[in-house]
Amino acid sequence: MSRRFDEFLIDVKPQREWGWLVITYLFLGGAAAGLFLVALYIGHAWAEGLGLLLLVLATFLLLLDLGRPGRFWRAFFRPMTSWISRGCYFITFLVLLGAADVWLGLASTAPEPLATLVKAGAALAAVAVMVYTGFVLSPSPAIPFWNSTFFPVIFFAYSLLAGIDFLILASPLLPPPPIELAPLEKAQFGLALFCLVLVVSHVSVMSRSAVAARKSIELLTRGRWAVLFLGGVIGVGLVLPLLVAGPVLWRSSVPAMFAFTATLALLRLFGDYLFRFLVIRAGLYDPLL
Amino acid sequence: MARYGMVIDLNSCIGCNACTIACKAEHATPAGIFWAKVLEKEVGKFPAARRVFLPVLCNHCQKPACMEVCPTGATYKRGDGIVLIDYDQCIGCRSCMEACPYAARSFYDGNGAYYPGFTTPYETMRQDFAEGVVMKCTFCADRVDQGLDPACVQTCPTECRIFGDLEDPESKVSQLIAQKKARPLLPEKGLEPSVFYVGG
Amino acid sequence: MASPTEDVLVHTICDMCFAACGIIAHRRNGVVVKIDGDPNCPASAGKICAKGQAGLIGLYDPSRVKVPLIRTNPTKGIGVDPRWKEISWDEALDLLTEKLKKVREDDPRKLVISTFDQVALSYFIRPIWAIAFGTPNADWAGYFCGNYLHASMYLTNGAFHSDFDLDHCNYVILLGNQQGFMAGLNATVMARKMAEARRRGLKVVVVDPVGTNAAAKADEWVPIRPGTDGALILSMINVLLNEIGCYDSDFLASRTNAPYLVDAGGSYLKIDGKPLVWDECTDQAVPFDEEGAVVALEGSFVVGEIACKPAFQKLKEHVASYSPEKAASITTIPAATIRRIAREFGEAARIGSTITIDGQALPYRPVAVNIYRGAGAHKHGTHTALAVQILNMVVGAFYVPGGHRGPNLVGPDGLWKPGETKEGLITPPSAIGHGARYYDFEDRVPEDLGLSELFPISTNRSPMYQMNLSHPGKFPLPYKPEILIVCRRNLMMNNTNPGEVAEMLRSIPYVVSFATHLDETAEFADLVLPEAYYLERFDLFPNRPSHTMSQATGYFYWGVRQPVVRPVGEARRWIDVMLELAERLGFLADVYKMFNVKWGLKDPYKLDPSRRYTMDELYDRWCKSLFGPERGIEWFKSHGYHKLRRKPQENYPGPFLKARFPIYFENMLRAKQSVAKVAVKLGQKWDTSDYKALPEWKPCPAYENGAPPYDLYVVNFKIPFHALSFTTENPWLNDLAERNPYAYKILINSATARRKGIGDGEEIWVESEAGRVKGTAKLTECIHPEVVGIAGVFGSWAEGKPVAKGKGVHFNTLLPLNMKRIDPISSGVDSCIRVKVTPAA
Ligand SMILES: Nc1nc2c(c(=O)[nH]1)N[C@H]1C(S)=C(S)[C@@H](COP(=O)(O)OP(=O)(O)OC[C@H]3O[C@@H](n4cnc5c(=O)[nH]c(N)nc54)[C@H](O)[C@@H]3O)O[C@H]1N2
Ligand SMILES: Nc1nc2c(c(=O)[nH]1)N[C@H]1C(S)=C(S)[C@@H](COP(=O)(O)OP(=O)(O)OC[C@H]3O[C@@H](n4cnc5c(=O)[nH]c(N)nc54)[C@H](O)[C@@H]3O)O[C@H]1N2
Ligand code: SF4
Ligand code: SF4
Ligand code: SF4
Ligand code: SF4
Ligand code: SF4
Ligand SMILES: [Mo]
Repeated sequence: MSRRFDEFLIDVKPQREWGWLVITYLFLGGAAAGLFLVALYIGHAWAEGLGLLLLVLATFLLLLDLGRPGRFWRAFFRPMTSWISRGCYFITFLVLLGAADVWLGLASTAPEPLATLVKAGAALAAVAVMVYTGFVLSPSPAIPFWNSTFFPVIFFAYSLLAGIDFLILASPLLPPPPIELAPLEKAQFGLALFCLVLVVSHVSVMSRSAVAARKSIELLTRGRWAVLFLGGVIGVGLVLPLLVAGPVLWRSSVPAMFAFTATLALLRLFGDYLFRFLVIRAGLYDPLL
Repeated sequence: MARYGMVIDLNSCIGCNACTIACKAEHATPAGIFWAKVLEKEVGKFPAARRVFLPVLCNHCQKPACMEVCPTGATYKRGDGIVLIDYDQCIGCRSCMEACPYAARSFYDGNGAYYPGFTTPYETMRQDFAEGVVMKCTFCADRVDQGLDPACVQTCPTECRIFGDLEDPESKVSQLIAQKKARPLLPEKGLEPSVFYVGG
Repeated sequence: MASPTEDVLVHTICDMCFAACGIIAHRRNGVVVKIDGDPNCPASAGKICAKGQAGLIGLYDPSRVKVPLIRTNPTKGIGVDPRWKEISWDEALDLLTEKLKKVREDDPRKLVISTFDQVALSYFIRPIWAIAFGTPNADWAGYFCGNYLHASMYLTNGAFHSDFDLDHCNYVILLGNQQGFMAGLNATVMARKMAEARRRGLKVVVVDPVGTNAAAKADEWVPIRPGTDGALILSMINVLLNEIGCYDSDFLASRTNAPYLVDAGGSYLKIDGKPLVWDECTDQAVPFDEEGAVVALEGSFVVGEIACKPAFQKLKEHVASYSPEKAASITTIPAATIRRIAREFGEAARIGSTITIDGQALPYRPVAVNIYRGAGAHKHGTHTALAVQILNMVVGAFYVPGGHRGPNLVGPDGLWKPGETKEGLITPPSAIGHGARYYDFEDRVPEDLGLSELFPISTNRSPMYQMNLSHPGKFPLPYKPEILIVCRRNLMMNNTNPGEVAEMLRSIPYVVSFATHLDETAEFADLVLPEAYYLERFDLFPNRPSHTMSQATGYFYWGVRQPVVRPVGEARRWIDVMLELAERLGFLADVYKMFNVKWGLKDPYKLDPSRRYTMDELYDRWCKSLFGPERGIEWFKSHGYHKLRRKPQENYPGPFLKARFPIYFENMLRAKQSVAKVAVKLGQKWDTSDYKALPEWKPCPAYENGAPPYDLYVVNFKIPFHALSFTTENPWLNDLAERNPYAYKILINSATARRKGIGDGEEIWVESEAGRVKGTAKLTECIHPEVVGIAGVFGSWAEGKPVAKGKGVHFNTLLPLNMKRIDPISSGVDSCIRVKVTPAA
């Protein structure tokens, strides 16, 4: 039995329906697609495979979250209006084309035009998977904190960031070709900077928006979530890695590169997860009167 | 084709919650789930303070956000504007709940019986919802189809809930909306609700 | 029983509260699937409240008592398991018959009956069964209900309850009640009419320490310090009489005893029993009923050496001491507000105006002050209620269109009408007053638990039952009660501190409870008998056309409550069981003879004392005797209601009556002497100072105490979707109450709470001299800063009420029962007390 005792009050109310399963999906799904994308870019079939594996795992979490998982296939029925429905297609395309590309990449016997076609398709699908969750949130009329055009972009950026971090962490385990860390770390510096700009601008926009949105920002900057948001997402997840990496990055390649970048990667992943967590938990409805 | 709607007179509503329970009785809604609610808040400081009552239900929006995000088509709108959920199609993804600004929807976890460890004959007969789906006010579509008023309207002791056809200029709802400056909740959300409020 | 496709509608009557609204129960394949209002019922008109809607789920409560139970654990106590053993009805009744037989032979007065079952109480038990058995002790109901009000109604007009004419009223002051907001009597029709009236512009002023549902909708909420309403009302009268000279002299002169000449001692001047008035044409005193006399309301006169004044002059002088400034310091209501409201009230009364209804021109006084539980339920509450009646009379808003009135002073086609004393004053119709004697007193030593002769000006002496049982010997009674039969009364929860009540119940050798649930009181029973739920029952005329049925319904009407489904288990209607007991004890014939008289059964419907009738047959004869052969019980079962549209003289009897409404109560002075004598005979030092010819405001104990840390008042209020402790086991209503911001909480003014370091939602203790309760603080702006509020009758603890158990806060725990806190006139208990409020760390 539901125990929501604020149900009968006219007030700003938190969204409660989406919990850690959805949050983890947002994080993992995005990261998986991101990982696939870079892997595709640097042409590393095994890494691509790893990305797909993560994606399947993430999608499984999403299934668990359904009230009636047995009927999941019905979710494909409304692509013309529902971003969730569209997402189902993006994920499917990515898995199929991605798998094809991996297979081609390993067997590497495919005729050029077909292979490029598959790659192009898979790349597109990957980008779609990275951004569509942003579109699930941003049009929401219910939760002002979510309806911002920033989200698709932020989610893309964060997904790529996380994808690369996963690649960095996985690099020692992956079969050849070996993975060049220096360029990745440089990319991350740019990405993290980009995320920082986006997040800060989102916050500043929202703090001038509807009642509930302002309350959300208050939660994140002064209220219940302030420590996690300012300390975790901004501090540990973005600023710290930037400060640490910044000075050393452009000096001729640093020794013991892996341990160094891996640590930064972990910090950023932590921040990314927290970000997805807070975006969902700080979602508030406007009061009805 | 009619377009059904409701007008609620906030001056007359006394917060008795007859509507709340009438809805529960009519639809055997599960324990802890209310399709009709009477929200409250206080305004002002003592002694110039008072409580405010706001009866709410699904607004049967003309542009239902819930329907737009529904990936399965379980949520649909009838020709007469009534927004319904097909429990056989719903997968319980709850995106509709995220999308509805009016908190009109509830997720049913399958524990519907009111007496711990006992399901009454009434519940056995009337609670025919599948577990794991989302539910909400149906505007009493079944009653309306028989030409009856919704249960909450029928019982309202102050007669402050009026139901009718918004497209018929002669209907009491249309009249009220025309005369008194009726407004929906959160019009800025652009969902074009079919439930309007006057007074208050 | 049910064919697989059964789908039927049954006309019956709700019993989730006393309003007895007509309902239609929808039964499908033997299961009740919905309850709707019965559009044909003049009260509900098809619209019923949350409680009525919720009734059906309670029918299927698995915790209902289904078979007779006998206690096997001799020790009784709160939380002590009675170790119930199931027995058969035969065993149970044999046992009970045995017990009752002994008591009846020994001294029938040793049987005590407590019920608030309106049908049983009004038609069967109090007027008939108990009398036939031989006990006067069958009137044990609420302690702070209408106790204070009813006496004031009997005194001033003769009706029992109080409401006002919502069809015409333009300005109403709700003094400590929520009439019209889904509380009070006839809750649904009053709510509907109130809404209509407010839509047409009725102004509602709610005087209440708590910002209730009524206050929420009022045009003006006037928070008042508890127990001070008398000062407010007397001050308003003062403003009207002495400051702005606004009063209805015609009404006062011709329809009240205002002109009666009163001597220095307060007694009427009389000639052969007739009070005198001063005739200004002939400048002499004449009998009050002298034709063509122009009577004086004011001035002072000398009649044969005796200095005297009209009662009205006395009243004017009496209220002069209640200046708004003085009242302000007592009530916390600003003097300016008191003056304004008094003026608004006086102006809205449109003194002198008339309105034509059904072709008859009647006085039109569209204002009323309505008092009920809250303002009355204090020591000296009878005075407050009398002041309210006087305020209504001063502007002539009494039993005329738009004004104050009580239900059914005059019956359908004169079936009953008020009486008249030789002094020309009105008395209750026999159909209502059942034996109230407010004008001639007997200083006999009382022999009933209510101590009638010690409380002559009262309608119900329930608190004295407990007083006598708790303190045997305090008042000498020639017997000691041995058996208590309880039905539909929660003595443990609804009265005063349950610890005290438990002690009292333990002291009664044998307790029998007819119950739907093993409630807090049944836990003290030796024998529990399963009672049928209202949807399983057969009752006639639940809304009493004499006492409770509001004129607001527009009709006199008679309806039937009939079973919608078979009773669960072996549950039976207790009336039926009581009649079977009468048969077993051999006095059924007497009961039947009394039915013939009390129900006025005409031939050929008179009962034959030598026969045994079923409830069906009894009711059938009653119906046919009243309405003729074609209106038998079967007709009622299928049609629901027999209705008679009310005529103006039934709705507004004031102008049609000869008997006068007193604004001055000379009989109180005689009552005083009688009570003093009785007290002496009982060996009591007795305070008779409340027996006064004119009402005063006197501080109640709570007002006088208030020394820190007991610095706050606690009051209690009803909420629209629960009735007493009655509905608390209903899971739908509980579900609602749990989500309501106030129902299960302790209301405290935000500023007060902050001062005490209490935050919203924090656990707090509320402690009085009698006990303490713990609960969740609800900080609110909608309550007087000196007051904490606790709603309803919550905080159940009975194992047999698993839904209600532990939900909400039990107000009555805070109330002690002692003479210091009892209204000396009505015997009502003061329901407000000082408390200490502390955080429950
Ligand atoms: N919904 C519902 N309806 C009911 C009942 C029920 O339990 N629930 N019970 C039925 C019964 S038995 C009865 S007797 C009637 C009673 O009907 P009402 O008397 O109309 O109902 P209450 O809410 O008890 O009204 C008492 C009010 O007085 C306020 N009050 C307390 N102390 C004071 C005071 O000193 N001065 C003033 N001015 N106000 C004060 C309380 O805050 C409360 O709001 O209702 C009947 N109808
Ligand atoms: N705190 C608080 N105390 C109050 C009041 C209040 O508002 N608040 N109100 C006061 C007033 S106005 C009054 S009139 C008194 C009323 O006092 P009571 O008459 O004692 O009121 P109830 O709480 O209705 O108790 C009725 C009991 O009968 C049981 N019952 C329910 N249905 C049936 C049935 O069908 N058959 C039988 N046999 N039993 C049944 C219920 O379980 C309940 O225990 O309380 C007074 N005390
Ligand atoms: S039933 Fe009518 S009056 Fe009562 S709360 Fe609902 S809308 Fe308001
Ligand atoms: S109120 Fe909410 S649930 Fe109802 S139609 Fe509008 S969006 Fe959908
Ligand atoms: S929960 Fe059901 S109704 Fe709501 S969006 Fe998902 S599928 Fe549609
Ligand atoms: S219209 Fe019907 S379903 Fe909707 S709230 Fe009213 S009673 Fe419930
Ligand atoms: S007012 Fe009383 S009798 Fe009428 S429906 Fe409500 S609970 Fe039943
Ligand atoms: Mo009462």
